[in-house]
Amino acid sequence: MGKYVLRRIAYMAPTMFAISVVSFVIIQLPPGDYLTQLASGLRERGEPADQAYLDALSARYGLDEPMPVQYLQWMKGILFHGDFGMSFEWNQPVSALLADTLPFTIALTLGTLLFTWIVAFPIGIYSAVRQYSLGDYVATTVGFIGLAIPNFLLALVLVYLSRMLFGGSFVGVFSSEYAHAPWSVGRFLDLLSHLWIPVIVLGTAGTAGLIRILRANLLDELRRPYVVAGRARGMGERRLLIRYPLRIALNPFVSTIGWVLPMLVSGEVVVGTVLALPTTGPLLLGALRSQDMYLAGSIILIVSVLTVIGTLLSDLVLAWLDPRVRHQYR
Amino acid sequence: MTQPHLARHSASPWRLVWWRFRRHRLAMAGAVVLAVAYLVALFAEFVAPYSTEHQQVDHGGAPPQTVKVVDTSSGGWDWGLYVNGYTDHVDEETLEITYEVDHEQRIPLRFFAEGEPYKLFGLFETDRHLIGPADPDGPPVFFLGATVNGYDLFSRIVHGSRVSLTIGLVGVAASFLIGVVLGGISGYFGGWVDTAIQRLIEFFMSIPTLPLWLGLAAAVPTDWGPMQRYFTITVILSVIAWTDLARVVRGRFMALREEDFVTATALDGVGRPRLIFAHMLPSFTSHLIASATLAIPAMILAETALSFLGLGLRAPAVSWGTLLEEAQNFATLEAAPWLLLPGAAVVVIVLSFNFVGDGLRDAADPYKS
Amino acid sequence: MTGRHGLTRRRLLASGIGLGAVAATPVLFGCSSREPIEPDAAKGSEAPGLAERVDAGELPPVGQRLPTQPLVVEPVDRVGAYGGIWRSVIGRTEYSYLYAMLGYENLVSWTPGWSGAVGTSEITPNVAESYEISDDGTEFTFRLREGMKWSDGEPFTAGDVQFAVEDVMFDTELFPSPGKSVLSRGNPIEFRPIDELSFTLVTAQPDGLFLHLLAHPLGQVYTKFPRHYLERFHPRYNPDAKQLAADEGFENWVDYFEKLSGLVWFTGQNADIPTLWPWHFVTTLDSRQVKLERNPYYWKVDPDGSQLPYIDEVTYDVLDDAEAMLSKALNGEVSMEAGPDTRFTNPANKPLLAKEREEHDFDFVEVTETRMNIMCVYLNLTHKDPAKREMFNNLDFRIGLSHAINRQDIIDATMQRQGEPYQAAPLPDSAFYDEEFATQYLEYDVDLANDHLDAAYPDKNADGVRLGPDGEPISFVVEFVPDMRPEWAEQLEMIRRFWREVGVDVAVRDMDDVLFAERKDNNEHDACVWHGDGGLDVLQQPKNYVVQDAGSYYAVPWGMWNSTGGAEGEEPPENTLRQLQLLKDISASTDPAEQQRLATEMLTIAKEQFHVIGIARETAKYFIAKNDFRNVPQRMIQGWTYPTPGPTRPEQYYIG
Repeated sequence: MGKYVLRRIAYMAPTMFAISVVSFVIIQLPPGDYLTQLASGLRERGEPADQAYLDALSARYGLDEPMPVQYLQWMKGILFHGDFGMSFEWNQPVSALLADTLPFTIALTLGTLLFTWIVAFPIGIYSAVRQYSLGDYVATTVGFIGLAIPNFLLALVLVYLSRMLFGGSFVGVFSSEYAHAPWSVGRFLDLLSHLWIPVIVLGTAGTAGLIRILRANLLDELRRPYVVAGRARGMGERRLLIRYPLRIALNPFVSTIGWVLPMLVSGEVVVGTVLALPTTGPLLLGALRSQDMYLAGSIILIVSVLTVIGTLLSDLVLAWLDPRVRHQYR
Repeated sequence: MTQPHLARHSASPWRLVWWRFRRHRLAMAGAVVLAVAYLVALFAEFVAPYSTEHQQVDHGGAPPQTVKVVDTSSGGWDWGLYVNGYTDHVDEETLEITYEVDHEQRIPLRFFAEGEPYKLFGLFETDRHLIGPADPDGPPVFFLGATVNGYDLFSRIVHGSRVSLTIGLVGVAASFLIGVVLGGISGYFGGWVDTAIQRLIEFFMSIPTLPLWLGLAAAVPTDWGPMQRYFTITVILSVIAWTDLARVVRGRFMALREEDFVTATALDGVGRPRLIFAHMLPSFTSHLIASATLAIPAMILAETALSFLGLGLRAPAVSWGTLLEEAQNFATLEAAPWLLLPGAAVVVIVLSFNFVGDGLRDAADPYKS
Repeated sequence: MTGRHGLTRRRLLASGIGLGAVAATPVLFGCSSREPIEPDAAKGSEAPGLAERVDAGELPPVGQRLPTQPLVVEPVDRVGAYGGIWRSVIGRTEYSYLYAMLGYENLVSWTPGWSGAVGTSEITPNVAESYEISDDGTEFTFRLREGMKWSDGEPFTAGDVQFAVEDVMFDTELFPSPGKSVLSRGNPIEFRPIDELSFTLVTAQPDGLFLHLLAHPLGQVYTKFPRHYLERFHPRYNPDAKQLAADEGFENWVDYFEKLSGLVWFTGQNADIPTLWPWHFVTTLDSRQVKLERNPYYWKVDPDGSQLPYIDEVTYDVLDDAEAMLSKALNGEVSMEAGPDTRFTNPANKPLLAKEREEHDFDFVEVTETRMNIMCVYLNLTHKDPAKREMFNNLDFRIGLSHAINRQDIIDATMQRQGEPYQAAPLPDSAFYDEEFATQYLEYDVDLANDHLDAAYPDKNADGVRLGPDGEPISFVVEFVPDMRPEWAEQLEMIRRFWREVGVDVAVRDMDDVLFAERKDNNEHDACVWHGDGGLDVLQQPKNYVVQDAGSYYAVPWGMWNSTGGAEGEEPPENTLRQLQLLKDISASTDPAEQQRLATEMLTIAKEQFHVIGIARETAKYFIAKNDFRNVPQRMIQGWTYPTPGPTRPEQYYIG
């Protein structure tokens, strides 16, 4: 086990390096840079910027250096000082912006993960045990509908319907009166009243996937000889199910920890935009659009690294749960 | 043993898959829906009453018309398909445009109606449309209502199906190719090759897809035409989607490597490439098809999301994504909720693909009980 | 949800924020049946909250906080009452909008009823108690208010203005070359101190439009930098300033200084900076809610002598999505909205808002725009390809294209049927309105269009496409940025079909704003479209009438030539040179009548040249305000040069 852990951690290094390079390259792909945008913005405001000003800004932001130099400086800051650079558009250190949005993003992600599990677990088991029953069809259909509705559509329709049914605006995370209020029961309830929509919207897509995986795995396990043998020995169906097949079929639940983050960040961009959430997604979208490169690059980097770590953790848990996985990696 | 059981033992694997697939009723239903949808896409110009350029500026946001079969207004039973026209009214203060059904105005319909000329498949010049107003110069008909800008929504959904239904196919084909090749290599050779490819997969999976979309979509030269951009974006989507397939393939290869028939073939002196592509790959083709089927809807959804974010196709290009993007606001939800119908089309198609994929997977291993 | 991909700073600025009070008649706006609460006659000379703090010994009495000669603000409808919260929504990077809503406190300001006229009739003292212009038009002497204070109680003096000019705007690290706000006819101005409360701004040459610059949003720089607070962060005054910045995680003192002071545009990132605004920041724009509280040292009073502002607190929820903002407004959570229509007060949303207005107790405010057009079509007159250049420069070709557009159809299909076909010309309310300019070549007439096009390029190929000067079928690409105005996509698609009818083949191409700007700067485009700026602010935004800089997308190289003094770009033709000379003469003249005559000549050349094809102007703009949100003018003007609602004096709005 120890060797396996070490090996996995060693594998992470090149992946992380590649991620950091790609994060940096992606944001440089589009033509122009932040200054192009700034210059045309100034012109719109009736103050056309002259070249000397733009050159000075370029030097201040380090944009006049060749790309590899910019990359090395950025990495140096991150590795040695924990400094992710400055956000041009926000005029703030990137780390301050991330400190503001990451906790909420992570909270939302965990909430969504929980929601996904709670919904997917019973439905998955039910449709495997009662394959091709009416219930299986209904459960699968409901699960799939969640997957089939585009996120942005679902978010908008939910906001619209809630407004019609309950009144209230349902955007943001807090109502106006609670925005800067100290924590209280009222504030917490207000938070919950704003969170259910994004959790449902984000959760539905993942739920269908999990239902499907759980169902398929469970079906596979249920056909195995040891299950048949157990049944032949007269073991009760419920006990038979819980005893072993279910534990094996649970593996995908553990695996989700790894991939749920990038999926959510991508999905969350759309939902966060519609619902005006103070999360990383809309921040990333804005940064990419305005070519605020250190902000965009840092978010991509952090989310990717968290994913790699998440994958590692879930693999380790899997390996610990299921010796066969460890064996594969030998 | 009963007769069917005997037949099962002698039937070809594909027939067995088909038999099992048939048992999955949702999958069958999905297959039928998809067949109809692709036929509609193929004959879009014929099925749609109007082209994508047919605009009625005085009908912006007009509601759907009910197709009626019989007219009893004159006392008798006057058979024949028709819809009622509208009268419209603009409130000068609130700017609300309202349409009322004008029961006096009757717009007869007919099948194979004369309309705008078009070239089917770019070959056959004709002006017939499956259904449309009997009088091509008379008032327009809007079966599913009109868009805010006065285009026929039904026609747009039909025309848009071309892009939306094929983007998944093209994309999946591309990612299939990458996935199968890399997954196959990884699974067959194992060792350091496998490790390297596993890192690559892990790397692709750990990058949030959105910045990749954004970065790559923005890098597409803007002087490219809509078709070039469309294909480029499809390829971008598939570059991101291949990892799942690769993992499936790798897993299958891993398992197959240990099977006796592979060892036997290898001992026969068959070369590795031939072993992989002629012997091992076919043995789990059905699994691959199932996985691919399940990947298509993700692409369709990705197209709509990209359009929503303003990164994919954009109006005036017609796809379900661009149609939905136009409808994505409270004003439309309130005034013209039928403009969300392209969303219904997306849901139906995505569901169908999922059911078919599910059915295929259940049926994939025909020798299982 | 077209184009709601986050409101970028740039887009919001681009769409501008507009012009203020027009109606001074004391009529209650909207259709509210509710009578306003009559203000308590004994409301006192300051807000109750402040009076309590005075009693508690935390603040000096109001008499000592006000200047000896406070500015007396005439309320729009009636004298108001203290209290309440102004709730609204704002995008994270809408610094300019925040300034327009809350911070239009320049030395001088535009008056209500502004028409963009020359002369000083539409400019009134604001922070400055009075001003005087020397006869030769080179010395602008201002007198500040005695006893006027920053929001932290420190005196506001000529020294603050001196700091702003000499240590901020002319600091070569902050601004390697001075910005437009401290330039007069291209030359730096000079600050000449007189005493604590008086100073003179000296221009190198006579400048007939310098005062206009001070009233423009650009003029905010003179009154926004509290010397006593900022000195500490400026290396000229504090050798440790660089260390201070480094301690806060900034790579250089410039970044830190910009964050603290906001420099020209970015106010709202620092809650600690003292201000002259009616309210001062409690939380900043980068939090989820920007909150401001009344400035206890605000220097304006109502006719009763009561200190303004009336409203206690300003609370804007920070949202980045127009639909999310709309959702708040529909729910009655917005006291007043006077933002650009890239937010949510566009014609398409009006029916929806109208349905909710009774239940949520708000109503509409009429708005006219400073823009004269929803879309200006620019053909690249300086195209790199000689054939295209020749074609686009052919006046018949442009006139033909203009006649080929069915503008009424575009209005019906894309503008909620509201609008007026209009060329790229000054608005009827403008001091420079010219009916002929506004209406020439507007008529939709395919035959007439064909006549003009036949005069230019009569030959057609088998597909009916005209052959251009090089004998090739005419085909070009029109570029646009859908995020700026989503309707452009459909409008251009319609224009594409109209033009195909007359044998001109165009393709429409959307792109993001950065690429768009890049292609314009490099003169790589065939044609493009942009907002029709300069409807009222003709002299401040003349780019659709005369090519002054690279912002005139129909002839970028001419603009480069002019703005670089001939170093780059391409020398413009005779007519444009004449226009540029006229523009210079307008600045050089100190006689309004002469300026008017020169401007008219400049615009007449623009009319004859017909470089820009206009489509239509918007006639159905509106804002919203709650029925109990009082003293909002019945009619307002939206723009950026005239930063609505600033000139309508938000400090005299009240809730009751």
